[in-house]
Amino acid sequence: MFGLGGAPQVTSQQKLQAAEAELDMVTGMFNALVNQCHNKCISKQYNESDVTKQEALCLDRCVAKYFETNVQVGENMQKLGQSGAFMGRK
Amino acid sequence: MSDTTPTDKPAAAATAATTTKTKPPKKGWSNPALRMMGIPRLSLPSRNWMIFWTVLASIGGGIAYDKYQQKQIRAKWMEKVEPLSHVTYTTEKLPRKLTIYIAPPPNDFLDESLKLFKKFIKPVLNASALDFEIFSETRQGDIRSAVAQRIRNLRQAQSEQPTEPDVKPVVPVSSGDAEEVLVSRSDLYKAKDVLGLYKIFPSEVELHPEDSDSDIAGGVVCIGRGAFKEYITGLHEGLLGPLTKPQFVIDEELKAEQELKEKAEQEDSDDEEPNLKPVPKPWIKPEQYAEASFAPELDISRVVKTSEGIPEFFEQPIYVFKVPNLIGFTTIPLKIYRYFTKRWLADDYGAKATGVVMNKTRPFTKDDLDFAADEEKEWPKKWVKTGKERNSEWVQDLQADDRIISRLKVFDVDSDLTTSNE
Amino acid sequence: MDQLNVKEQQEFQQIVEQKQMKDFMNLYSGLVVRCFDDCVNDFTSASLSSKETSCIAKCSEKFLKHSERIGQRFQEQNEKLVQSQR
Repeated sequence: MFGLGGAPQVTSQQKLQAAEAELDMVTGMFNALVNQCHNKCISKQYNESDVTKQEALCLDRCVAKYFETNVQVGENMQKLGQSGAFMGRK
Repeated sequence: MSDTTPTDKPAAAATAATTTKTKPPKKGWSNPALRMMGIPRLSLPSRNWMIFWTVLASIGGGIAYDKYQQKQIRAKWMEKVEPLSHVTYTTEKLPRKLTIYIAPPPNDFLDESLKLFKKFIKPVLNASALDFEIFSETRQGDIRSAVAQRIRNLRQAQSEQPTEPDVKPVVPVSSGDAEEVLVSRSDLYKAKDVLGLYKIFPSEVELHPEDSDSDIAGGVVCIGRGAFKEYITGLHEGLLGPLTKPQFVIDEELKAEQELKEKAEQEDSDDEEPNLKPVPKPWIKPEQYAEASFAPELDISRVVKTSEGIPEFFEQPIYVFKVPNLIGFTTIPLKIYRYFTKRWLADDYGAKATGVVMNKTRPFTKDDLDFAADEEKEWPKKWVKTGKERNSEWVQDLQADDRIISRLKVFDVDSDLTTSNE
Repeated sequence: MDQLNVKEQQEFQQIVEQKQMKDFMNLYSGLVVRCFDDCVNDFTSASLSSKETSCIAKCSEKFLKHSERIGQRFQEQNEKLVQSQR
């Protein structure tokens, strides 16, 4: 791997594993969203079987905020990682 | 200190003989049972204490009553619009969206206007399940330039549209000839392909925003006279102004930047770098409105709409909320008076917000340029003077062009008020 | 790393399909858990009462509508995210 000619060779198995991990992330995130936003927005009374306008608007905002949080956390982690605050520790 | 209580040590220690002779008539009322329990004689406090407690109670009561009433009033208006939020909503629908411009009152912080919005307008909007988007500024001119830039971007996009179709990157389709065709995996699938949900639902839903069919939609709400002035000037700048920055603006901005730099060098004591760029100057002057051509890129024979079918924000009806804000020492009595009667403001705001929610409109007339204009009377004189020197659009008369005015609409709040205000 | 050749593409498609199936089952079991949790709280009889039955019907319909809406927004936001990362 090291210094043996340019780009590291990646076997197709590795590639597919990475791809699978990505798919898992997508479905995982979606399921987390469904659960989180259901907890936060949908009333548990079940008086009717339809989503009301209030809930619909709440869901829209919930998804938008979740993505924003996701990006934010990612950035923060990157920053912390680069600053080495956790690396120097032993 | 005349009201010595019987619990006083010296009084108890004092000889009984003296007290029997020159017994001062004790104030207040008691009875043997109370005395046995050690409860002192009940009497009114002294005159000074009475005054103190009365003043304190009336001020406290006044504040508490006003706060309580504010809450009641807010609840009243929220209740009025609440049925709108309980309608069933299918997936393809999107709620109406307001654009809200908030400017700080003169010589004060943005927080003042924001507080009014949060306390009295936002609850009503939320109760009625309206979507909204807030644009706020901390410096004069930000709203104007943002509005103008938004329109200019739209015009730019319109004029570029015909050449766009072939810009789209062609996804390399794996033709069977070679193994060399490599495709990024992110091009191979979309989120809908992995989500189990779409095994039972159709993945393509045609979004249908609530107000995509009518020409009256959305809404623009300005908090404060200044925000309204900037919004209107911004509309003119965007629709009538040039698409590229004219030379005189570049010159002016360069000059302003230089001035800022010099100022920063002079005031070296401040460690904080004033890295704020100067506010963009208007690209068109009010005198030039008449001879300017009206956004040639846009098809203005009908209402300009977004790709979703909602009228663009400059075609949406407007409403302005007055921000009563007093500055200075001499206005303190009036300020106190207003503090104790804030419930009236709450009621006014609630009624108007409800009007905006109800979405009734009428055409914009020239008189509407004076929307919330009496706010200007309360603007600090000194501030107005420096504003005039600096050529700020806040202190100048609002200039408007008929071509733009004729397109605008206003929320007809008052007609609704008479019916809903009992 | 994320460039796939033709053979890998085919395998990848298969994985995607498997994942979708798995996610569907996941959704289903999640729905059961949620509606059971929200609707069934009385264990004095072994069969569902009529009240519980109607609650479950509403719950599952509402949940599916809810996730349909979330799915829409999710696709939009995901597209935006992918676009911004490029």
